[in-house]
Amino acid sequence: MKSFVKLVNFEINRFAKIYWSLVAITILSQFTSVFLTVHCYISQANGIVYHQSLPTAQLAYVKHYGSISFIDCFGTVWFMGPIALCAAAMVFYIFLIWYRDWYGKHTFIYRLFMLPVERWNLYLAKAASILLMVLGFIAVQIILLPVEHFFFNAITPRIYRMDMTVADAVLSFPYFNLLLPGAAIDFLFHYGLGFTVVLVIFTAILLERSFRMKGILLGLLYGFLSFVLFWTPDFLFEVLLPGVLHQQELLWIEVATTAIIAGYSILLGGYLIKYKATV
Amino acid sequence: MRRYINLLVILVAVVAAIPLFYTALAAGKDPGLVLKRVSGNENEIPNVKITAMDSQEKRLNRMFSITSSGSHDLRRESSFLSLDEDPAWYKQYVKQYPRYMRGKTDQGGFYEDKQMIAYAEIKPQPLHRSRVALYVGVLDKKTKKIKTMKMKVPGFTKQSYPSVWDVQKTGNELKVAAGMDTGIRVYRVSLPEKKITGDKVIAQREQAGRMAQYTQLAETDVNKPNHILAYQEEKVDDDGTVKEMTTFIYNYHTNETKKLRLPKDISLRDSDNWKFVYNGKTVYMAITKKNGGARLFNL
Repeated sequence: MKSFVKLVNFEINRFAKIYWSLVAITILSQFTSVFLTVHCYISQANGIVYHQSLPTAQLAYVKHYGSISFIDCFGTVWFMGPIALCAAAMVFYIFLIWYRDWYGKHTFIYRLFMLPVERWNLYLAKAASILLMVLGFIAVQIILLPVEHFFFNAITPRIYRMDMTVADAVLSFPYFNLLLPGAAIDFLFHYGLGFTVVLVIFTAILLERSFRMKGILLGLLYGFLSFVLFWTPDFLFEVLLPGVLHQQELLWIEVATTAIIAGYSILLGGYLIKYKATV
Repeated sequence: MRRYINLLVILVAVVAAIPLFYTALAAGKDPGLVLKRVSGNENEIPNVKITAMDSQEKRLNRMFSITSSGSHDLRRESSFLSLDEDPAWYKQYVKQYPRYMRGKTDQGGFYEDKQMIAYAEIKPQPLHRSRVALYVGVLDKKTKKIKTMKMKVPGFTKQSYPSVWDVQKTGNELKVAAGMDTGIRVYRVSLPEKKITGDKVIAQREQAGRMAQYTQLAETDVNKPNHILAYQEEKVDDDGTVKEMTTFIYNYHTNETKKLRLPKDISLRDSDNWKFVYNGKTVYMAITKKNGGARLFNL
């Protein structure tokens, strides 16, 4: 256990500089988004209100053009851009976390293989570090939202503002549903499925590292078979035998299938890294 | 310890922020909407579910479901676990008769009286997908015995897109009303003989004209005994505009079809805003008024 934690920490530390840079970019960019959205709205409003110079002009502006809400800040590139950047970085890192050990300076995988730990732990530590870093980004976003909401309220005059809670804003913006689904169980399903995909990719990478050219084909085949297995319950009970299972039963069969895919990916990955992967 | 700072910071953030966020979401305010009986039968309330949307400037959209047990913000409900939007009677069937209910998903195909629950569905035969068969399953509520029948259906091919609209019982026969692209047919299924003993075409597209379309009107209780089938015939132009709309009722006991008269002071142009619903006695028509609200007619 101790060696596993050490390995996870080691993997996170190797990516820490880029990771915290991405977090910093997200913070800066999202606050910029809030500021620019409010600034644009207020400038436009002030321009029109100034020309009318009536005491009720601000109210008339809101009635005519609509108020500004925290949700309006979400739709900009400044806000969604860093989220996309972090997601892209993690997808890229899923591959880099393995290949840099082989192709980086000093063939680092050689040293990793020489460590007095179960090789199995290397696979699990890399998977755990990816999961932790993804959840870390989500946590940062959750922490940021109330602060950004406070900042938005602080710089937007009350008369122009549509008040809402952070939860209402998140639940009303469709893209956030992918990142933060409305129910905890959906969160577990989304990220559980995502983590399973990561495990399948890891195992496919190890197949390639173990059998080289043949391994590319084996890896692709493995990915394809896992994909087919994932869709089998749906195909079987939605297309061939519709209605034989009740919806809830089908859902739990799909959850079990995903768990099986994750399970055999770990087993096969563990076997490959222990017995087949070579430097 | 300093070596572990990155891991610790991420771990603390994850463990604190994500559960806190979902606890806050789950503890979100109940919208406070209630169903209140003004008049009518209180026993019908469990079947009533109203889905409402509150939209502020098209940005803050809240979806609610209001039932007799209270109201829920649908955005906070699991999109996986709330998959079944089935009515209360259907859920009750699944709970009470799980074996009988397997594979029975078409809610229009159910019929229930004191003795039995019947279900009919027209679907392609396994391995012969171009041929369709009428499947009937009857559950005796007292003995819990299930009787199943599979019958070849005359006048149907897979290309007819047949579907069961309604099932009723007269004497020892089940009457199965089926809609297809060529019109509407009612089949008589003898329960003792387990076979189709006859059928009647009650509406035919060829006779009404090529552009006629048929739709069943909404029924208040799709599974309860009812001696009529109410449906609509729409004749449309090449560009899809409705030229003529006629409402009919078919009586399962007398085998007669009757045309209903719509109110005279309504324009066909507003037909998109017409809503129909029928029970065993009456066909109701509601028209949305321009200034909000609705006019209700008994046809």
